[in-house]
This record gives sequence, structure tokens and C-alpha cells, in this order.
Amino acid sequence: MFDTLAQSASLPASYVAVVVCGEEQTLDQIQTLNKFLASVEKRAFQIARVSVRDADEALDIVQDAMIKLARRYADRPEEEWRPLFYRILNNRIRDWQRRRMVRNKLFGWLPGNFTDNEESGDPYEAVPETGHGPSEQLMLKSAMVTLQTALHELPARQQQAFCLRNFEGLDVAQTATAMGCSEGSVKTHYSRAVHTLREKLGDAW
Amino acid sequence: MVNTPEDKNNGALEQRTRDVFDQQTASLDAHTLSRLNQARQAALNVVRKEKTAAMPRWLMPAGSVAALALVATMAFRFMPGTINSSGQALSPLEDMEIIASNEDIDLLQDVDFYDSLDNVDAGENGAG
Repeated sequence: MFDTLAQSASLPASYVAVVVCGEEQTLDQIQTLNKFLASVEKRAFQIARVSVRDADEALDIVQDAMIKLARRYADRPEEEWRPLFYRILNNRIRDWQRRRMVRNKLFGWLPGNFTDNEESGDPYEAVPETGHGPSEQLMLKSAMVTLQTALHELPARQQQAFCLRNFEGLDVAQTATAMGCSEGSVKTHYSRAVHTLREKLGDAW
Repeated sequence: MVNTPEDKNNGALEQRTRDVFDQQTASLDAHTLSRLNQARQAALNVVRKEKTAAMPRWLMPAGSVAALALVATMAFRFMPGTINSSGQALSPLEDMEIIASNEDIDLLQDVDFYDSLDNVDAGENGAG
């Protein structure tokens, strides 16, 4: 194909091959990245929401993480994307929590400022569009609120370890990469998280 | 390795929390899904832009020259040529050959006459 194109345009075949292959590679890479991001975005959003307890902030954090992954690591092998993405996400969450802490220290004494109320905004937007009946939705909502509260009360590292291992299904090595610590630390954080959740959630779980 | 009752309880807890998390993830509202999709497209646009910007600078003029050469070649090949008196199509390349040759141009003034003469000869030879 490149020879034919090159002959018709009186160009070196290698030149045509470089241009055409470059475009095809870019398209393939974009499609692969699109699939990957689509496969992690919902869970990433949920994990971010558990940490920051604000849907809009969680969406912003996920978007930042996606853009940073695309900008910095799109050329890395696909197998490395998942732990890298969650590492970026965790760093973004930690940055957000630090900023929040500073802001609360500075302005926390003002009345009515910076509440952690996730339910603000249009309540109709939060209505899930599923086939579950009202009673099932209520139970699910109640269970999720209980779980979110228990998870939110965990120390940050335990929370990360539990979310990445249990919800996202990363193995110990991938979780260690995502958290930027040793595999031994991951096991310790995870074990403590499970123990604490066991105590908080009780036998009903 | 024997599983203790505590291990079993922990396993059940992990499973239950995972189920709740998965159900909640599956029932995200349309607004959130739309925002996530927009975020993903924004990230993909970053890759598109960076790939375009990363194209070597020498490819820009070289690409323009290549495109011009391609257009010129295609136009030259498929441009309708002149038709001589016997109805045969002459390509522009044949015209160029005639102009560039060292033949006496005066002989070419009656080229239609010689051309028809050739056809008559060819017809007689074919009949004979």
C-alpha cells in the first residue's frame, strides 16, 4: 500500500509509511486509553467520593487523574496504567484533603462555611436510574451510607488499601505501586482496615 | 492452612462490602455518568493534541510538498488529453515528447494529413 501511494506521489515509501503508521498508532492508543478509562471511571469516582464525601469534588478529582494519566503516561504499557491511575487518584485525593484541612483551619470558625454535606444540590439528580424497587433502593442506599461512613472514618492509608484491594481488585503488588509503599505495608493496612470495619459494621455485615 | 472463624467472617465482610459497592456503582445517575464521559473525552483530547504537537517540525513543510506533488501527479495522469483527427486520444505527455524532440517543426504542420495517410495505408494493407 505504501509503495503504491509513494509511487503515485513520487515520494519515498518510507516517508509515507512513517506518516500513515504514526496516525494509526495514535488512533489505536486513543481507543485503548478510552477503553481503559471507561473501565475504571465509575469505581474511581466511587472511591473518590468515599474519601471526599462530595460528588462534584470527586468528579473533579477523577477528571484531573484521567488528564494527568493521559498527559504523562499514555505511552507506557497498558498493564501499568491501572496502578498508575490509582496512584494519581490517591495523590489528588490527599492534596484535596490537605487543602480542605488548611481551609477549615483558616475559615472553620466562620458560621455556615464549608460543611461536609454531600446531599446539597438538586436532590432529583441523585435519584438512581435502576430497575430496583423502592424498598431495594432504600436498603442499598442505607447500606452504602453505612459503608461510606465506616470507610470515611478509617485512616487514609487503610481506606486506600481497602478500596484498591477489595473494590478495584488490585493485587498486593499493584496496590503497593498505587499507594507508593511496600507490599508489607499494604498487607498491614488492609488487615487493620478489615479488622476496624468488622468492629464498626458489626455482625450484620 | 486452616481458615479460622474470624477469617470466614472477614471474607463475608469483604464480599458484602464489595457487593454493596458494585451495586452502588452500577446505579450511578445519568448526570454523573455524563460528567464522567466528559472527563474521559477531555483526557483523550489531551492525547490527541499532544500527538499532533509532537509531530516533527520537518514533517509540516514536507507534508505540504508531498500533498502538492500528489495532486499534481494525479491531475497530470487523469487530465483528458487532446484528440487527433483520427479520434485517437493524445496524452499531454505525447505532446511534450513532440515539443521536446529535435524534429523539424515544419513537418508537423501537416501532421493531420500524414496521420490520415497512415490510416489509409493501414486500411489497404489490412484489406490486402
